Amino acid sequence: MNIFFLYSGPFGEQIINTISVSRLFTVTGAYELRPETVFGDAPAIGRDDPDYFEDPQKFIPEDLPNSCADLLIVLGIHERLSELVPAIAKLLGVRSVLYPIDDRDMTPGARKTIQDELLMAGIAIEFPEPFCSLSGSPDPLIDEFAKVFGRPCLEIEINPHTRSIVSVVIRRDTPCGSASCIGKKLAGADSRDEARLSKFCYDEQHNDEAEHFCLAEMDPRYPLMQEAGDLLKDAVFSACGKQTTKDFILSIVHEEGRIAVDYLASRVLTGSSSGQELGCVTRRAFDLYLGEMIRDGYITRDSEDNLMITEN
Amino acid sequence: MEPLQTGSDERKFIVSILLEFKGEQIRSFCRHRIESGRDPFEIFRELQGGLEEIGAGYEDTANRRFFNSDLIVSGRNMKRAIELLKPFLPARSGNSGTVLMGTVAGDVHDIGKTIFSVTLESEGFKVIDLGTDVPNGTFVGAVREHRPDILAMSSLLTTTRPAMGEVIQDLIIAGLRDRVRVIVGGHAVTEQFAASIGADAYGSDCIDGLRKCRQFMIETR
Repeated sequence: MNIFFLYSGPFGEQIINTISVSRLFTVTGAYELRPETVFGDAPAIGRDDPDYFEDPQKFIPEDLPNSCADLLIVLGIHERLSELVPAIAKLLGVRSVLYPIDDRDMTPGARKTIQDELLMAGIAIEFPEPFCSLSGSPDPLIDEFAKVFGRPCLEIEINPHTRSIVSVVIRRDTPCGSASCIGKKLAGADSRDEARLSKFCYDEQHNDEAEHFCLAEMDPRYPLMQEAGDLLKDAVFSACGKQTTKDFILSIVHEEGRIAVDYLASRVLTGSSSGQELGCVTRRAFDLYLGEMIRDGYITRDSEDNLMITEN
Repeated sequence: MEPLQTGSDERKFIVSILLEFKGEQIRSFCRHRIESGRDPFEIFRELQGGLEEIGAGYEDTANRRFFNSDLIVSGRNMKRAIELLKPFLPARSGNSGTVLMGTVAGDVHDIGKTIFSVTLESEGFKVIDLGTDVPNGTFVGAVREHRPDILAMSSLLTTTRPAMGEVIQDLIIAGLRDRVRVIVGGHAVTEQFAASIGADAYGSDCIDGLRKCRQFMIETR
């Protein structure tokens, strides 16, 4: 599969670097799209330019490479420039677009319009939030990408005598590369020390001394970085055969018989990543897990927002 | 490396090396500057200017030019610069005084604090760094335990800076306020804010902070 990147800043550079060095896909080009390359040094970033709304195609930079690609990945461009994405996608002849959102300030202002315009041209688009929550897609190209990049998935071999981690294979890396970076450091760790293992995952995931680390938003009101930490910790726990947050949710629902969603959340959310081996830190991760468990038929949600184990 | 130009071109160049995620350019920049005989503190000041530019572009919500990831990567590159420049700072022996420092609760930013710490150490101060996200009680307990001459608190966020005033109040309650001079700084702090919470001084940057710490010690002796 051929991939073209439209990016801006270090967030984009780091992800392009991870995907490029993996050699799992052919990168046909990358173009840094910044407000100044489109509007010059105009401070208002095209906000008051009626031409921009009327015909964004006119604003496609002339030096944009005319590369052919199957998938366009948009990384960290200014939200005002998002309106150029459909025109650029058509110009490149891509069949699918991945537009991850790892920071609310990068959220495209006209997401629905972009989606509608692309769909009319027969181009699929997805907005994973954060990028490392992507685990599959109805679109075959995005699904092919999501088999190797997105929500972390690891295979861990444990010494049956010492219970220490012998080797780690990354089945699906995070696009920023943090999962493989952490995987390299896990060898030799004691898989029985769950609190330490959990703390290691959270700390390393945003360890800016590491080669690859999470660059997502960390605002407590919109904790994408913390959600990414939850996903990574659960991927490691799952690979070690430990109780994951999903297992924990299931055990509480089983024990209670019938439980309100918010009460369940209060029991599952740890509020801290320090040595908490059970549950997760963010409500976002909790909602994601719960949604998947309802979708997969493990848990049923009634009209009064109560949860119970699905019979049969 | 190309020779630097002056003015906005230079500032753009500094910003671009602070945003390079692999950190190769910042290392090359620091080495080149040191080899040219530049004062390490002057290099810090140049880089600090770039950080301020990125911070201003992030805070300008009407025309945001920099994002969360830019803040993280530039902070990381600043740490790389500190590591590289630290050995070149003039080391002074002797005991100029003891400074207890930390970033207040809820705030994990440490670049400014780290630069200030390095500056103080190079001037012969003993620094006890409590790190970031330091609970109020930890500051008070550490003042009691270490008996520092100066307590320095940092805050980048306006949402976390009230903790500085709380720590000062807690020191009063614990009967420790008279034993220690308090200096506050960081992006969220102003001279007026420092005065309003009862701090003894406000440090606008590491050099200003150093000057005020020296003054504290002269007054003490």
